[in-house]
Amino acid sequence: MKTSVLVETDGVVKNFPLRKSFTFLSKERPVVHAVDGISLQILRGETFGLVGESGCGKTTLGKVILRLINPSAGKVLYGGVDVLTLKGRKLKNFRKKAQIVFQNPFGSLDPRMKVRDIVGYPAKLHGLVNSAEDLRRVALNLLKRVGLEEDHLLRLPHEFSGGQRQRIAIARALSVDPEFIVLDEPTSSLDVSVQAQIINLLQDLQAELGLTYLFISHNLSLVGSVSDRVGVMYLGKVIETGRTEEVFKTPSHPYTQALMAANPIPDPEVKHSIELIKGEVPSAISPPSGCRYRTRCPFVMDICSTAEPPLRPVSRTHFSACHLEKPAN
Amino acid sequence: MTRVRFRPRPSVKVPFAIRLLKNSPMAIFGVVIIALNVLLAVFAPSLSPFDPYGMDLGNRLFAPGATHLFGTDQLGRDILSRVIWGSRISFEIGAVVVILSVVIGVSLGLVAGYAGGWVDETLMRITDIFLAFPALVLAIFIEGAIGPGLTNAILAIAVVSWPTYARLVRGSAMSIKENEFIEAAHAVGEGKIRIIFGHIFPNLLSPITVQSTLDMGGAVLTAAGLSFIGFGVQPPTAEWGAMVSNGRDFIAFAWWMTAFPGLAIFLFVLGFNLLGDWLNDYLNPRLRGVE
Amino acid sequence: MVKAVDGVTFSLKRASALGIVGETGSGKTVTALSMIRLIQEPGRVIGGAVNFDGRDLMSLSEREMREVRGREISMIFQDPNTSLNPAFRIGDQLSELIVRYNKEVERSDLNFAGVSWLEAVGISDAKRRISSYPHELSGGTKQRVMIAMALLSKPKLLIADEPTTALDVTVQAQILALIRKLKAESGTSLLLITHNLGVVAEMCDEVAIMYAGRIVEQSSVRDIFSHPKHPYTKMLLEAVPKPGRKKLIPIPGSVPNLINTPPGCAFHPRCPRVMDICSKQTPLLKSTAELGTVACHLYAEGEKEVKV
Repeated sequence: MKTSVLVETDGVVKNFPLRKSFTFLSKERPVVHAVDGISLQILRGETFGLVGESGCGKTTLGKVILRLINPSAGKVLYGGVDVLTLKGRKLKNFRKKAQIVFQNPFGSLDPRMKVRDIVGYPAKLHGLVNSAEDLRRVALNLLKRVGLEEDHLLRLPHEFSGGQRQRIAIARALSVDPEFIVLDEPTSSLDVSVQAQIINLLQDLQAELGLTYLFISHNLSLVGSVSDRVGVMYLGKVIETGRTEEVFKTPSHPYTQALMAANPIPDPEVKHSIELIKGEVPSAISPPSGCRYRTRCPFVMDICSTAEPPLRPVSRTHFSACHLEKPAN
Repeated sequence: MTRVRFRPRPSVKVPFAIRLLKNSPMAIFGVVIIALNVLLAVFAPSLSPFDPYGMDLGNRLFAPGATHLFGTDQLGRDILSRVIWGSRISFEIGAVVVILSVVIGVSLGLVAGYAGGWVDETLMRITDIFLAFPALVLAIFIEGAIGPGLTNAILAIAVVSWPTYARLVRGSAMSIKENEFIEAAHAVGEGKIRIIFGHIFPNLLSPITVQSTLDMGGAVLTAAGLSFIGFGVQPPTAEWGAMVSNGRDFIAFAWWMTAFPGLAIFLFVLGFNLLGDWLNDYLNPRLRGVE
Repeated sequence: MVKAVDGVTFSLKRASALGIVGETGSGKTVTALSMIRLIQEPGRVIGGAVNFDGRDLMSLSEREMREVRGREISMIFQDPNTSLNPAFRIGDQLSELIVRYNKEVERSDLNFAGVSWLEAVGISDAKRRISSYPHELSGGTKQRVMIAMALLSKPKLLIADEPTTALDVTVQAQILALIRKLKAESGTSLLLITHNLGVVAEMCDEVAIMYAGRIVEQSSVRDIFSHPKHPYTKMLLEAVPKPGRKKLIPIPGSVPNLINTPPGCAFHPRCPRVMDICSKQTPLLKSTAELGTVACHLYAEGEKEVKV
């Protein structure tokens, strides 16, 4: 199987300006640095996991990649083409190939549309169906593929449970025959047993259709289970990335280590989760200079406040942005 | 692949609405009143015993009796007939005002809500200016400028009513816009026009419907007020407010001239208010995705 | 009528921690609220007793119950945003409780006492932050304030309903460590309600698994994970993500609608080991050979698993 690069970001920056506030006396408007210079690659056919805590910018990055939000700087390349230069027909074509499943099953479906239309209209929009008959047939096939039934076609979203709605959302994403799907916390609001069903469905579909996934989640164990490669984000930056087994077994960056230590394992024989981390996340409006993690890092050195560490190789398939010579211990 | 069987919930449709309606006696009362008014308006020619404009100076100021169930006014015109024909005018006022104010208000509100930024600010300040005046005062002002009469009264009331819709729609559009299904529509490649009219607008129908139901009654009330002070409808038009105004001078000894048209106004407005209240309760929880 | 909780029996020893685990609709929160009689109309407790420290809470008057709540039994909730009053500073909210439960504290010392409590729950810069309003604080800090408010009366029992579900992983670790520490220092018992098996593994001595309003299994935390008995427990453990686990094994079907609970054992439509009797008779909670109880027809009283 080809392991070519399907999606690539190059120095993507996204800032959100805040409303003017009286506490900020300077003439400049304060800005939230949601994503601050991210360069990563997603390979065709893989599941790339993006993990981090709230406010790290992972959802924003996912939306920038799909050009649902325009970046403040940097490029997004899809199949080698700069997504930001696409217009008209080419842009529409990109939307056909790159889809998204949102976190909230209760807000991501139009409450006034029947399931048949939610799932069938995108196909119509892209010229994949020609008649009402066709649309119904296509919608029915999609529903069946995600484990739903014919009598669900004419129902409204509020008649379904959270898990079923996510299935509908997945069916909608599939309806345009995509290659790449951004999964933004697709199971965070679902029960454990339902989550397992949805994850299984996603994995089956990936095998069947050769899909590439960007799997965004704050659930470390889940990302560890489903991803081939993983990126760990903190305050708008990717601080560690690599093959999932490597990153999880031998986390190199102190923040990753803190995350792994903090993650509760469903096994009472394993040691308690430890706090290797102190304090709270600093503000994304004025992040710390140099390495953003230095205010909470137990291994902080002088250089950490003056120079921002680039991603350095720990192995051929594992990179960490830290000034420490050897991986933190 | 896991194949799962689900038992879907019952579809919420019209039969459900009717069942729910049965549980609310107030709403039923409202619907009945409106239905009666509709009948009166539609069948006015057949139902009305006399010509509403037919003067009969020999039978002036008759108290309610066998021939003239609601009595006669100072020109001998039958009050009952005038009340019946008045329902046509009330519906005309209500319907035209609502249609005009909805068209103007909703368009402006949609644009403001979707566009945001300075477009929103500008439109909303304009709306605020209109809202700053008491409705009746502004209507008088406008009619003072363009002249009295039924058509002008309707225009004036519409001018005064559209800001409510603009505000309502703008607020709703803004909150609907934040929903993820709008983002999903973007992600699938839908254009702005399609998103505004295909997704945002259908989800606004509920608040618009509730507001316009209430406005039917409101418009008639405002028109009655205008007619009462001499603006609005001009004699001899049989509009309820004008009739009340007309009867003002005779109220001491011909109470029926004000009482019956007054009662008609009251019932008309009440009917629509009751229906509007019930619609509000019925439509809102569904929107929130009650499980 | 919806039977949210149907015959739940468990016991919690002094100074120990019991975890109640369940998914949506299992009845875990309703159980906790019923115990301290916080169920509101149209819900009602229609039967059973709650023996707390020698008294049956169900037989107390509302006034007596109010004495128990907050003083002897405290509760903390999932959403710190709705548990703190946004209109008052946290210092005032703390003082109100200190006055009620620590009568020996002088009025002039209230601020000092409040600051000490904030420091005890690990809030930095407490002297300044005590004058903050809730919206000025982060989620983790608000939860710490909640814990302080719950523990300042030195209760015998702390009920925690999904206390860390809304928090980030690292903050969760801090809060759980805090609860463990305070519990060890004061000897408070803990009733922890959660759907997170990892949290339960860390915090609890005993675990009860709930499904559709009933307890289906209860045993020590070690036994629940290493020797789960009930098919639901087994399947739940297989479905949970774990680092190193590549495949999650789902439970087919969905949680039953409490209006139409399946007859007999509520889990039978989804159970891979279902037998005829399962749809006819609801299994009772029985003790098994190892310490612990299970409500399943595969197990007879006092025996290990029935050989099928």
